[in-house]
Amino acid sequence: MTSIPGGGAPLTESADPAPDLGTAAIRTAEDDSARGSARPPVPGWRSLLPTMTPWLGVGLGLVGAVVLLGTVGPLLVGDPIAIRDQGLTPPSAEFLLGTTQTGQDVFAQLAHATRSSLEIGLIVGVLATALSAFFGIYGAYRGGFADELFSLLSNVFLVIPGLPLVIVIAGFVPREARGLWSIAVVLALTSWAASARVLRAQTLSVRNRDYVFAAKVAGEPSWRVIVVEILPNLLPVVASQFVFSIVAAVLAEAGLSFIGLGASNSLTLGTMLFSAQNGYALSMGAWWWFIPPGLVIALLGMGLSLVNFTIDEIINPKLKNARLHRKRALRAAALERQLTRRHRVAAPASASTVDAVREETVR
Amino acid sequence: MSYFLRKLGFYLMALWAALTLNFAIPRLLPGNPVDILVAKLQQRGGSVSPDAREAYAALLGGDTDEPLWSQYVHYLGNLLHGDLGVSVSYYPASVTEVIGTSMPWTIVLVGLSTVIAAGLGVLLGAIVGWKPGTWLDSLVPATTLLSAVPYFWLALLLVYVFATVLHWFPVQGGYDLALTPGWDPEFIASAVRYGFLPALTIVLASVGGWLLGMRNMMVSTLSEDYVLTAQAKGLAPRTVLRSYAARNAALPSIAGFAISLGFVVSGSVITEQVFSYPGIGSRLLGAVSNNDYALMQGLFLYITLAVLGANLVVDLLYGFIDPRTRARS
Amino acid sequence: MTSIRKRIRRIGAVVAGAALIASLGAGCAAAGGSAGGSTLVAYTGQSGDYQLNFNPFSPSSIGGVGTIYEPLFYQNKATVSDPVPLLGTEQSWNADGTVLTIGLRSGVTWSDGAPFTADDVVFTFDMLKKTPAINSGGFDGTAAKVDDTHVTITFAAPSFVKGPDVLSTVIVPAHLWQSIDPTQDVVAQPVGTGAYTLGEFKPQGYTFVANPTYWGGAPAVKSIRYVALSGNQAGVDGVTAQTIDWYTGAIPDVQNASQKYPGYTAFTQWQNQMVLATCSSVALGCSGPQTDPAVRHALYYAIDREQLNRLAFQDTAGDISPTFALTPSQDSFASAKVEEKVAPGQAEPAKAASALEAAGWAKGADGIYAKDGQRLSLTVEVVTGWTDYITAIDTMASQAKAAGIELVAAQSSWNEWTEKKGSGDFQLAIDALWQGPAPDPYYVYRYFYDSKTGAPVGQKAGNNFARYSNPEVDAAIAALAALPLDDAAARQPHFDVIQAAIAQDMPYIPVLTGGTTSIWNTREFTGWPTQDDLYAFPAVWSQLDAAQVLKQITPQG
Repeated sequence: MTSIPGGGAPLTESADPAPDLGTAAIRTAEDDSARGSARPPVPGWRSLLPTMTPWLGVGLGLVGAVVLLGTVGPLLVGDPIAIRDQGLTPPSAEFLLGTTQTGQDVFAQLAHATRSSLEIGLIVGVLATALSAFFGIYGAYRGGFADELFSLLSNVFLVIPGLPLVIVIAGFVPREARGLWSIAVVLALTSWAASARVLRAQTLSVRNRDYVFAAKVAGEPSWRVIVVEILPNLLPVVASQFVFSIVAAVLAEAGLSFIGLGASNSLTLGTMLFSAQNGYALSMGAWWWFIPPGLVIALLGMGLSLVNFTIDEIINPKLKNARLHRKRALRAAALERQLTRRHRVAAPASASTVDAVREETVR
Repeated sequence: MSYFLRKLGFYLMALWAALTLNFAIPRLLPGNPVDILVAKLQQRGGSVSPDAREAYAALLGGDTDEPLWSQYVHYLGNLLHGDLGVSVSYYPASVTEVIGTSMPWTIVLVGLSTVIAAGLGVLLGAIVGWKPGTWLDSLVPATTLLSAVPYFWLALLLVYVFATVLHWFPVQGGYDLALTPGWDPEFIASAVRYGFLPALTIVLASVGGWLLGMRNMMVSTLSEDYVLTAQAKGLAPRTVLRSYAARNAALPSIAGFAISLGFVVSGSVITEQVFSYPGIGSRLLGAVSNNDYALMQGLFLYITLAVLGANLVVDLLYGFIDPRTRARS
Repeated sequence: MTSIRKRIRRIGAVVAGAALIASLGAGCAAAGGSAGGSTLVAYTGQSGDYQLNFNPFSPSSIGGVGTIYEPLFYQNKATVSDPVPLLGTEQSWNADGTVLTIGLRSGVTWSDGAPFTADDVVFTFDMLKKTPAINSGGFDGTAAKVDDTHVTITFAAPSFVKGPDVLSTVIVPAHLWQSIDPTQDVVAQPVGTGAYTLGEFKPQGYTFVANPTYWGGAPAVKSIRYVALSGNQAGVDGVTAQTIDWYTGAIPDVQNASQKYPGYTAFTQWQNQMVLATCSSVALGCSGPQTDPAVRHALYYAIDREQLNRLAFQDTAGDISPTFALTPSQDSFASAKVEEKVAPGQAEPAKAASALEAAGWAKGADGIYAKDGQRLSLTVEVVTGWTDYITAIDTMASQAKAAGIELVAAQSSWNEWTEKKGSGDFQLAIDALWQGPAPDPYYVYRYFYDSKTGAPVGQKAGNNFARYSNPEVDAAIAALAALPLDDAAARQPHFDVIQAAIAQDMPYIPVLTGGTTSIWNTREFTGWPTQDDLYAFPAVWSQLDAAQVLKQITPQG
């Protein structure tokens, strides 16, 4: 058994010439924590928080950059809708991202549009999560008729067509509040059903646990049971759904705007793309008008998805173990290469470097 | 048995509620078909005199004095007979005719793309989950980025690069118009060629979700006892992967796949806008802009039936393929 | 491990193979489009698939008017000119405008071989009169056969102005149409006297083929294919890829069209007059600052039309006259009493200010005028999809702001916008006034200024959605209805009355005359309309005009 200097678990498996690192490696990690040899045990609540990984770093960075653009950007840039005689011009010192066909500053538009899109994303995220949490968790907890009824409701909402709903709701909302809010409401109404199903499935499995029964038997009111016993288990799932619904909302808003049903009176990333498309931006070669809004959406989506990876790890600790194992395996391989190099350097006259290496690995 | 009956009962109720909503929502839209038709003709340059408006009102039967509940009863009755009514925007074609010409294109394009995306995603997800630490891991953030890109933006860029600049694929349409639709190889080749870019964009945009889901499930499954037992028994890794791990890990993906098949029918409005693809999506958009109640109701009926049907099939089938759910409930 | 590698390799092979086949197919296939053998591919703006309907009287007819079915005469709306004989060879009114006598062409046959006679003409007009649902021109005369080549149409009242509508009605074969229901039948196999017949129909496009027995000789372009796409962007893509030969609509970078689309020529003709329509009549229930004529005049002077044309319409729009007689083609009808021949090209803020201040408006601290506590803020209704109009409103808003008026754009769906105009629930709406069946301003006045087509706010109005109501104008329009179209001396005094009134009241604020831009393939076809030889209005969707163009052009090279 090679003991790799510098700490870490003994890695028998790395000597295996055809490693199937899947299951056995995970076993080792669990053995490790049971043995308590390398690190002090991690307190329970800390395992609920995400651990910093390169992916999470990149994700947070991307999200942070976009949020910065949306919150601070509008304060720093000029008027996004002021028209100028110059028409369509490429990026220059004065206009970082050029101008549109009516001479409007693309960068200024981008900052304001990002803010509006983020607003929509957040409103939809909160609304949809609240709705799905209520219908999913409460219904499943209650069980019986309430459960079936809420499930029925989710199915109905799942099939409601979003397209005409957008137009109808826009017709009912007063003009001042129109645009952003009506789109957000419609998107929330048409998207909560899918996450409600997921939460329902999770709650069904949690509500049969012993501690929930214990709480019920002890006479706790049901709201307390839900909030104190059930909800903490579901928090990672809810968080994941929340993040996911923000991404979905921003994409859906872009899609609706593209076919002309978007938040027409406000400037969002989707309406920017719509104007670019209708202004024949691509045909005229005006990449500075067409590419940035789509890129911002993509980067925001990617950042949030990367954050979701880490939340997934909390929901499913086996993913975290897989990642840790991979990290250790890579580290082990790197250290092994280092060792063999050191052996080669240290004993160049040795009979057979290969023998030395074999000695090393076999031990 | 009662499990199945109860499920069926609730799905029928959901169907009825959806049908009622499908009846109500189009009628809440502002405007009426006659005004919209006249406005459309004017925009296209037709001189619409005052007499024309009256003529069209007479033709389309614009203002019905029938009370709403009576219309509703007739609507339900006609549905049972399979009569979906006459389309106002394509007068006098019946709704079934209008849907019939475009449904096959949507089902083939979006259906095939969904199957390919799901198959590819599940396969790659299984491989990535089975053996982490290879270059394949980079597929995960790569496909996630593709999923986070607005679909039509990606599509327009691809069209610009591959069709307008490189001329490898046609810019728009379903098939070469010089040919007649039929089952001859020339037509099929043309349809494949025209459908390649739309299918590619759909696959690129959706494969990420499948891959991620399968990979996560795979990692969870690999830590189950029975996988360890199988390995301890000395089975080849490939057998363990195929017969034990992947089958169990694929269960949620199967459920998700059945549901997305249901949504295939609603087509993809955006795909068809970008590629001028002759499917259901553009009909839907047209029906909504023209206040064509009958066509809208007909399309929503198909979408509702498809999605609810898929949900029902999944619920029933899940009890069948995964005995644990049956035992639990 | 190896098994997984094998699997990866297998997947890779399949994907690569598919891509290879596809690209091979791409390489082999022809570039499509205007395939040799003189097929002209036209895009009329059809968005979404075609549904088979060649019934020329149906609102969902997809084509064939002019090309398959012909009218008696052709009216060129682009210039003031005499009607061109088609199925009719001569036409004359009696002195008091109650009887129209038409001479018909002899030797014409339907495409199924049957001879064309006066019976067909009489049948067509009788059918229209009997079936209000397809009588979109409001025909109310009585057709009678004199002999095989002469018909008379008798009206109860003087009907000179109805002449162009009658002469532009397409004639259908009595021997086939007497046994079908004209409101329901889609006429899958249309039989007409025109230069083309139906070749084949597919939902994504249909083809017309030249009619060898056409009375004017078989046309040079042997087949025409009309395609259905997803919208204007697709049309432009088609022109760029050279798969479409004739397209009418917004074209990016149109001023450089010959470089950007080699082998094609762009041509712009002005037809529709763009206006800011106002809900103008307090008496009929309108409310808001726009009911004050001074405000409308101020807005008229605040607009910088040259900048607007450049930024929103790529310099394709033309001048507009406050008399709403198309300029320059209908200048002969413009009244000498209206001082301004065309709307000012530059903004005139001084005139705007003086108009407002004379009416009691005073500039507020924020630079916007106010009166009695009400700020001069107006909402302009526009449809979400109309980006050129939206850009125009944005431009006009910043121009109006400089003159102290606040314009706010309100976007809504088509359905809602139509509803608002119809019921009067709007302040301003950007729209266009279209022309009638003949190049004569009478029709514009009758459609949009006659109080008969208006309605109080809350009820559904016809074309006069600005709800303009002026008894003098109504009387002048009624008088014009009884005068022959070529009697300039008798008609001009009435035009003077109307034009003076509408230039003063301005219920529709003139903006610019919209240009209809067409682009066509001059490398493969020649004979298209030009500025010197404007023999038809060159829009592919204007069916009667397009038919004339199609008969005139010839393939070359």
